[in-house]
Amino acid sequence: MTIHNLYIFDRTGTCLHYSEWHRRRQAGIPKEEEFKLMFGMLFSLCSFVNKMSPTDMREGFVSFQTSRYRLHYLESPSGVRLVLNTDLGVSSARDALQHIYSNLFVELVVKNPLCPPRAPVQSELFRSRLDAFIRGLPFFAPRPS
Amino acid sequence: LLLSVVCFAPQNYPLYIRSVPTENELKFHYTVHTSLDVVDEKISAMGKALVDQRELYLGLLYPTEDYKVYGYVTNSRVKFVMVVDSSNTALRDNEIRSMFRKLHNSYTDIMCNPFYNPGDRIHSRAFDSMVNSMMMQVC
Amino acid sequence: MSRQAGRGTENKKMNSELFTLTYGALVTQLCKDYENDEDVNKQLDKMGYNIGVRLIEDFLARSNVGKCHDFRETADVIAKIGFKMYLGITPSITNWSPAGDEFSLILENNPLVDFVELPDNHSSLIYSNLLCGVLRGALEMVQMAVDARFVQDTLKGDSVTEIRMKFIKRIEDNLPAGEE
Repeated sequence: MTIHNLYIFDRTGTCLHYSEWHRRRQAGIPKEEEFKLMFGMLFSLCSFVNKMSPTDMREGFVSFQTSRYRLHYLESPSGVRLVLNTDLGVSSARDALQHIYSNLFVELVVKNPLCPPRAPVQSELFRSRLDAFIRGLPFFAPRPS
Repeated sequence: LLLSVVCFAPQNYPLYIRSVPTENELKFHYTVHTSLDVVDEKISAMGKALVDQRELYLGLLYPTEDYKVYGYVTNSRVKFVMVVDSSNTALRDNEIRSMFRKLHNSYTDIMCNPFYNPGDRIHSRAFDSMVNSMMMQVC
Repeated sequence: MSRQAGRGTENKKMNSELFTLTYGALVTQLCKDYENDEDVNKQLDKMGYNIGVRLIEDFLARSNVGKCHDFRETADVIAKIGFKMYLGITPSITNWSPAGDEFSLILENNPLVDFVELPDNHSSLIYSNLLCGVLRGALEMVQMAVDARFVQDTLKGDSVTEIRMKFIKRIEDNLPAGEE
């Protein structure tokens, strides 16, 4: 069970934060491109899911999986989007994402008057608390490959 | 019969004067002003005792043939003076005390008004209406 | 679940008088800085807006309220959850327009104005205009463009304080430029 990386986007697509822990393969494109690609994909996927849903939907897009990893997604009503990539051993990271949003992002970034909105997060406190939290998760430990 | 209420700043100039209109209004102002001397006297006489007891009410300052004058000083040295008709013997000490307490509370409320600068003359509708109701009540 | 459960979300109690006095000091300083009431009103609105765009995140994180489906739901959430959470009061909602796009919030007591008496030389000051900015900023972050304004104010002699909220339009998500 392992955690690969985390993206946080705001409503307009700006990547506010990115961290990686156990990413074994890079995308091969510059980081800017990668963020744009991720956000664009999420945007399209969310609107696709909303449009094509065969039943009434409460939360919309939640996660997708491939043969090697699972992508978990959380979107706040204010448009803040959190994306966590883990391996397949993690079935749901919703609680973790909710905690990152409510107790870390809102408390340490939104409420900090020195963190301008819509700009990448510079707060060292946020970075270190986030890191500590992720490393403390039960599904963090890297599986010996 | 409550005849007059005056509030003095720590520097002894009046912040608020309200009197029942009569021909002798100037005499009120004079009486009240001289009572300030008595207030100062009492404060320095009681001195440490005043601070220890936290007693704000000064009691009867001095009786004249027509009036009784009562005084009250706050911790911030703001003074209140009330002039009462001598013929009114119905007003008891603790009633006077509670009237002063009402004045003090209203004064505190005024201090909380962000538009009030300490040391300004008091122009407050709430304070006016409180004094009005005290004057009408006592008559 | 989370090791730090509740740590960031407990209500930190503060003396409400300190809050009222702080807001009063803010307004009077603005009055001294700007010298005319209209400019002060604009500044209060701007400051409120900046507070609102951040406050909405805290609100969403703490209240776990999902997306509102219509303006009526929004009104309920604002009055019963939002105002209660931040100011400890629950305004009532009245005067719905026939189209359902305007309503009034009636505040019987406004903690911002405890002990305040407006002097005569500030008769066009909208003392609590910060609140309008907060509402506008917060709702903009959840894709609603609204207009909020005071139509009655106890500071000006009215019996209640009334804020009129008008829905202008829904703000659509736009793809960032450069995407196909």
